Amino acid sequence: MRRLPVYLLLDISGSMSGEPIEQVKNGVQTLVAGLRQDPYALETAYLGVITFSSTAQEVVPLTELTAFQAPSLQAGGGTSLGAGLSKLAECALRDVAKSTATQKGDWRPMVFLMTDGKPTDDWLAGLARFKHEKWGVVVGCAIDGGDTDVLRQIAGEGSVVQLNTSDSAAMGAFFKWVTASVSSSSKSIEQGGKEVSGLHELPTPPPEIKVVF
Amino acid sequence: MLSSETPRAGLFSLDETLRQNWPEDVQALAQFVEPILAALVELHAEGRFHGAVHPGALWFFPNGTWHAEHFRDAALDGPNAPDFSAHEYRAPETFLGTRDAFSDCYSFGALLCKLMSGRAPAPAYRRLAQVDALEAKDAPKWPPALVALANRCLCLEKSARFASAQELRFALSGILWALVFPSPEAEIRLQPEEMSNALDIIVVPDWNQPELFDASIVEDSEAACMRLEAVEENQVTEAPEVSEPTTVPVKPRPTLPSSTIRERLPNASVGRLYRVELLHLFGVHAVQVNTASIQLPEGFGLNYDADTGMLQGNPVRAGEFELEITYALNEAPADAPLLRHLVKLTVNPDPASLWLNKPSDPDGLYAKPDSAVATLLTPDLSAFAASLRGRSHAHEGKYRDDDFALHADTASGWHVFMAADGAGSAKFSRCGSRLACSVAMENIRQRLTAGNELEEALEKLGTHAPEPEGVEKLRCVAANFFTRAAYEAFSAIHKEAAEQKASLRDFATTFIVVLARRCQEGWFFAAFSIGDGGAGVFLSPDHVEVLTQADSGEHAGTTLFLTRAELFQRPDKLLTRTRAVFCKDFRFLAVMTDGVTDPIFPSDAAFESAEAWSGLQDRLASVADLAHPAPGLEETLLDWLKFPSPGNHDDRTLLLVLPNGTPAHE
Repeated sequence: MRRLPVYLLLDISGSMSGEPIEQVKNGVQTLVAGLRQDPYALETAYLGVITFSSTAQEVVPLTELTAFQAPSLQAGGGTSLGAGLSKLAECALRDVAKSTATQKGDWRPMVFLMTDGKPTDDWLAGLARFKHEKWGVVVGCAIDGGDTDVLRQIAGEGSVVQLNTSDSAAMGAFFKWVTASVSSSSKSIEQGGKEVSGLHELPTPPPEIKVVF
Repeated sequence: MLSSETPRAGLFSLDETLRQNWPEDVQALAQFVEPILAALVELHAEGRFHGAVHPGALWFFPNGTWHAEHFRDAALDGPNAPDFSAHEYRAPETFLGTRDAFSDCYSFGALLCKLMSGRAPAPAYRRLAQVDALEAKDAPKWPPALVALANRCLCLEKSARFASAQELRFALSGILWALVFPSPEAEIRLQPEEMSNALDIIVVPDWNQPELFDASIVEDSEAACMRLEAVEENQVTEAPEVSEPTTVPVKPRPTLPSSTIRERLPNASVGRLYRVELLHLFGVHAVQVNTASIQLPEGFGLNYDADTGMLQGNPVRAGEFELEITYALNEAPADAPLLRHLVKLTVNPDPASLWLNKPSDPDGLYAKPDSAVATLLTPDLSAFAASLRGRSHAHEGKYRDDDFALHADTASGWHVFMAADGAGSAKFSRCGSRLACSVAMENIRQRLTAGNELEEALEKLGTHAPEPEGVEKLRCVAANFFTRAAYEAFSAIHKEAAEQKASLRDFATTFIVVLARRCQEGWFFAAFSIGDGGAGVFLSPDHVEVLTQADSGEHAGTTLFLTRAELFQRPDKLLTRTRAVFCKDFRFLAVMTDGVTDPIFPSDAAFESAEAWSGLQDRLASVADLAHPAPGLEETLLDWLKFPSPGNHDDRTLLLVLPNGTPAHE
């Protein structure tokens, strides 16, 4: 079976503690509950969660949507985005099947990256490692003061959105949109076509989400 | 990972080293553990943890100094590393698969316990909550503050422990400071209240008081419970007021630390057998649980079997459920009330129940029927075609993107079979696939008349089984034939895209074409393809001649389309896409889009294997008599194309070609 890997790369640094981390946790729940109502996602999507603070952790390895259980997240520490990107690349390299003569490869992984700060480590080294792997859609989400320039370099032009935690409706809307994006990706995937490869190929983001150009 | 291995000869284990030189006082002890603590402090500061602080990771040089490198190498620091640590040194949560700085503090406490009492504490799963792991009587020569520190490390509840080695080191140095430099300031630092503010080291009500709880005396459970609550409150707030020793010494009522019981059962799915051992929720504490049961709603589909301890069945309803578990512990008095724990259970819906089948709009742009069948019966062969809209399209009421065509030139005896698969993400691909088939077929039809170039090349081969060079010549002619047809199709799509003011990509489609002709000595086949899906001639259970090679990238979905203009800038490369085959006889020819090949052939290698093709024959033979195809076989095939395959919901098109007059089966 060709799986659609979906990675959530989440910032759990100290500045995320309190309301932001709670909203992210709720968001992950919303995402999973939404995807469970979608037959494509239910049969195709696999979710993985990687967090970064002072270091990066693979909190949930790539797991079948039906078996996925949302992790408990605790904020604290620095913003080692570079470590997060490297960890993500390593996990994808290890878990995402590539086509060979004897197996059919998975779909290219989708990545949703959320951060509210500036990296505190050598993030360019992490970026280089990240770029070494092949990705489907990569969406960067800057929460509050998240560094959109950094995210643009990771996700690409036009693939960065901005949210404010003071606006819980926007946060909710973001995760609903992620859900729709995963669904639409698994749809076009299963309709045998080319994969989605940019924000423009995903459903239009709702008005609450500000796309950064 | 070296944790399970002896590092190298010439080193001494913890026990051997202690036999030589057991730390006798707080200062010696602090000196002994300081390097370990320092290593942990460093790890924790980086947000990492060690994960395996136990004697297996602690080795010493003959001079008694410590082998730090081995300790570092033994670190687990990852959720999936195998843990070889002795159970006595493992925090309760590590048995449930989680590990962090708190767990390191637990392990360090176990090490302290060993150094202070001569033995490690009982494994976490043998201990009850709130009872100290290290009793003062077992460590009589050590200051109560140090015993308290070890016990705080060894709390079963994670939140009651030190959060990091740094905190632990502060607390230890506070004790050391006070003992080594007894001064008014130092004494102040030893006051429980001060410690709690400055160093956060409060563990038990009072270090200098005799134990409040005497485990050897049977308690009045209610009173004990209340007492326990009071103590707990004190622990989290201020240094407690020390009450007068009670006349009835009590022991806490046995409970399990709630944080060590899982909050969620593994997920279930409607219609899929679910089987989970309920005790699994208790993790390491399962041995302490005497009985447990779970309250299930009526008609839930799951049952709990108290004898086997299994929660099992086929869930009926999807959703999020909260279920109550009641349980009793082995240690509990018979009349103790049952304990309760709420668990969550997610039941996934059955995807089959979520699929919709919406008809597509028959009046829309480039409308196409949701399914199509066709038959071609000639003196030489019978061909049946069926094309079915995939579930993913049906769910959205979108059009079928696949297309096909078949044709026979009865005068010359040539047969042509085509299939095309429009890209799902391309909005007009249904038109792309239709144009590919119709335009290419029209082009080939016009050129297949008697005396065509193929016919000439075939005649030159003679009537006997052809030499490889002869086949190669014929392949070249066919390649030319196909390339021109493909170019015509491409041009027509290009024109249509321009008229529609759309891009070529919007019409993206794959393309497969096969030519078949009976000769005196057998059969000739030639094929050409761009993209995935494929065609092959099945000759016998151990022989298949594959006619196409799929263009597949590293990841799924990366394939090539007929609409790639670059393809036609290198006609020489296009010519190599044709394969040609001669065979005496064959059982069937199949032309398929990837909606069929993906679920049937698990890999490109499988597509080349006769065994996989044999499997396809068996599946087809189970619904139809392939040796004597009956009219209506195309409808049978259309029905067969509905076979379920998780994750495969693309449009499916199959052209099945069976020879006449020669037995399809021996």
